[in-house]
Amino acid sequence: MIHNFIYGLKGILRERQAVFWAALFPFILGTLFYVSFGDIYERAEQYHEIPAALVIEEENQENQAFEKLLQTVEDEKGTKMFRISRMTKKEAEEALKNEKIDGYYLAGKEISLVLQENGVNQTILHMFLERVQQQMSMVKEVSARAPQNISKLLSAWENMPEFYTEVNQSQGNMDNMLQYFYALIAMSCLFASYLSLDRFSKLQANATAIGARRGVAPIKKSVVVISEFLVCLLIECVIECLLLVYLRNVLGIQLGSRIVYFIPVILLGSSIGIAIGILLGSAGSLTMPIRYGLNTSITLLLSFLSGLMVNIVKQVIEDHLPILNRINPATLIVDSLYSLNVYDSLERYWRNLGILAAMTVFICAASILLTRRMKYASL
Amino acid sequence: MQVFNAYLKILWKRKNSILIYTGIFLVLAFGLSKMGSSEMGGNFENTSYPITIFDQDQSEASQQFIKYVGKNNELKNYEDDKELLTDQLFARNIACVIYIKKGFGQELEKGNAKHLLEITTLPGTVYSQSVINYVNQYMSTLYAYQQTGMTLDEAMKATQSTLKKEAEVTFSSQNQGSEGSPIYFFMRYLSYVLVSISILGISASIVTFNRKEVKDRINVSSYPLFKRNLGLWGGSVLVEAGYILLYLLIAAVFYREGLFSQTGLLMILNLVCFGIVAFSLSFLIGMITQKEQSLGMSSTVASLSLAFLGGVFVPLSIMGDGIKMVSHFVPTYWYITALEFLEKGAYAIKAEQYWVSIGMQLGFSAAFLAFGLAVSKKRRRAG
Repeated sequence: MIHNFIYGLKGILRERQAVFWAALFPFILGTLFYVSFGDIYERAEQYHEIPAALVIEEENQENQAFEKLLQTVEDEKGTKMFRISRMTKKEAEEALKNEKIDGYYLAGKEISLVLQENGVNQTILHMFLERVQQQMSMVKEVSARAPQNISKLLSAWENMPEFYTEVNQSQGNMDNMLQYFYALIAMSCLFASYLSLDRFSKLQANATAIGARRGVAPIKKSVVVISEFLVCLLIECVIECLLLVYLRNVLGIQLGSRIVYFIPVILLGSSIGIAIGILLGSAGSLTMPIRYGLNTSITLLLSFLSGLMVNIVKQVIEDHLPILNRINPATLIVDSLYSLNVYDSLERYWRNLGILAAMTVFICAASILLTRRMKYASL
Repeated sequence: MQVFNAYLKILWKRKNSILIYTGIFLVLAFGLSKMGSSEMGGNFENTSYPITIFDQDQSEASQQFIKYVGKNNELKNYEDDKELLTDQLFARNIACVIYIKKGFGQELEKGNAKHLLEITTLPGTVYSQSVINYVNQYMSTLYAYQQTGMTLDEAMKATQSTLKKEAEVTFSSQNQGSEGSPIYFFMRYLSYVLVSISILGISASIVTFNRKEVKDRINVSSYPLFKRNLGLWGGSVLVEAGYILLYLLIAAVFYREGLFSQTGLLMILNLVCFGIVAFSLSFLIGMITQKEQSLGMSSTVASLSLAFLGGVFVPLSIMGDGIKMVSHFVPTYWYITALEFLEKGAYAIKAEQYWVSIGMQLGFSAAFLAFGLAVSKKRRRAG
């Protein structure tokens, strides 16, 4: 076993191209993810001051009060809501066209809002104006109905209670772009199949001379399979650990705090990737292009279903066909990492690892059954 | 013609693997396009978010609250399961979970509005800001009316009447229409699929011609290098055309309305230009790659890199300025830019922007082909 392991390791390290791609690709893609959308949660989802303009067409008390309000209004957390600039209409149109502002208020006899497109910031600008106009309408209505209650109305606005308590369901990182990084780790684990496919297809006696020599050697097929498996597992685990260090420490991705629990995920994820490669490599009747084609297609399809390309895919499948998520190894890896981040309990994590372990054993057993007692009429 | 014929023979031998790729990527193209969002309206609409409300009070007051907040957002029904709701929040299927506590109506009758709701959302995000605005708008209006002496019923009626008033909104220029028709999403993700299957189909056949024994035999013959490359190009163009026709046929079946229009025809032209990019890139990769086994990896690297940098999976509008600058050096960026331009209906206003994107794509194709030819010449000299 040790002899096979050592020579297997030497053999795989000589396959520079295969090891190079299996090692380098996750780093390239991880870097790409990071530069493309690593800061989207901060930039596009977190609330920031909304850039807007105010165009005053008629100087009156109401419009001046509105201007003062725009400059001082804050949200519950004390952040200023708007970054207001006073402009002429022409300047505001230009700024809107060049996307320097999200909209502008036109304050004449009435105040209206001018926008260029729909969007979140535009909605907030609209809601703010609506709120101001509704409050003015309330004052008029109360003045007409019961003028003695105006002071109560104003006092109510000054002393608004907190209507709600905010509760956090999770202490983890809720940036859903993390889904991409989890899917990247899952795909990287499945890419171990390239290493094992290469190794195991060469074990076929009808494929290579080395395969023929090893076929007649007095060694159990299970020993060969296990030693090659362990070689691929060692290489892949080293790659995954380096990837993890790169994502977490170099790129600064907040993958979660329980990093130690990533190790079993990496081990089992790599194992199932290797197992898939062994199965394809052991299928004697298929030609090499078909084996590589199937390998690429299967890993990409599984990765797609786990949310590598569109991060909502996993949840959509969970809502409509959850059984698919339970049998897709890429999704099981992603879900394990996700549950480590978001949940305190490890129940879901261990369930996923259990399924991964069972699938790995099943696929490896199928591969051993395929390769044992294989005979050739002639070579 | 000899190289062209040989190319087709190699292709025929590889038909099974090509069919596998094409089938799997067809599923991907379809699946990806279904994930796209639906068409947005051309007039101003408040951005609404999916929310879930659990009414633990079941009173008239809670129903009125749900009616208002639900009118301005999309109400979704989920089980009251912490894990399920957290998953939905993470996936952005819901922006907020609101619990209306038991005794909501009774407390409001007494004039007490403090802490009657429990909200779970994504703190500090635009989603939470937007939904909380609606909650505060309703509750503060209701509370204020009650403080002026109205009963709860009167205050609820007055609140409904006040909150019906809408602020006037105008659009500054011609509204650039919708973004997100089904054909748009199909075409968008097709760019990723096209690059992947082109490399797997075309490059693999070219790699066969670059095998030492095949290459040496061609080199010692009197067959000119240019004719050899022309044969390879001819075969590759045929394959690429086949792929494009296949996907257009599928689009014609499922997205007929969007495809057979002026915008649709311009989208087809855009796709054909991108097909030329895919073919030339595949030619280059086929020239560079020495082993067929590495093609699976290289196709994944190339296609995913181009897709992410070009704004296929993550929209260009939410990418940072720095990365958008880098994206200009990627052909997919120009394809997506042209596609978004067409989808917004801006062709009628500024057609030249579309043609610039087409020109850039053809420029990239020329560059890839030139580089591929240079590699081919260098290899011949190296022997």
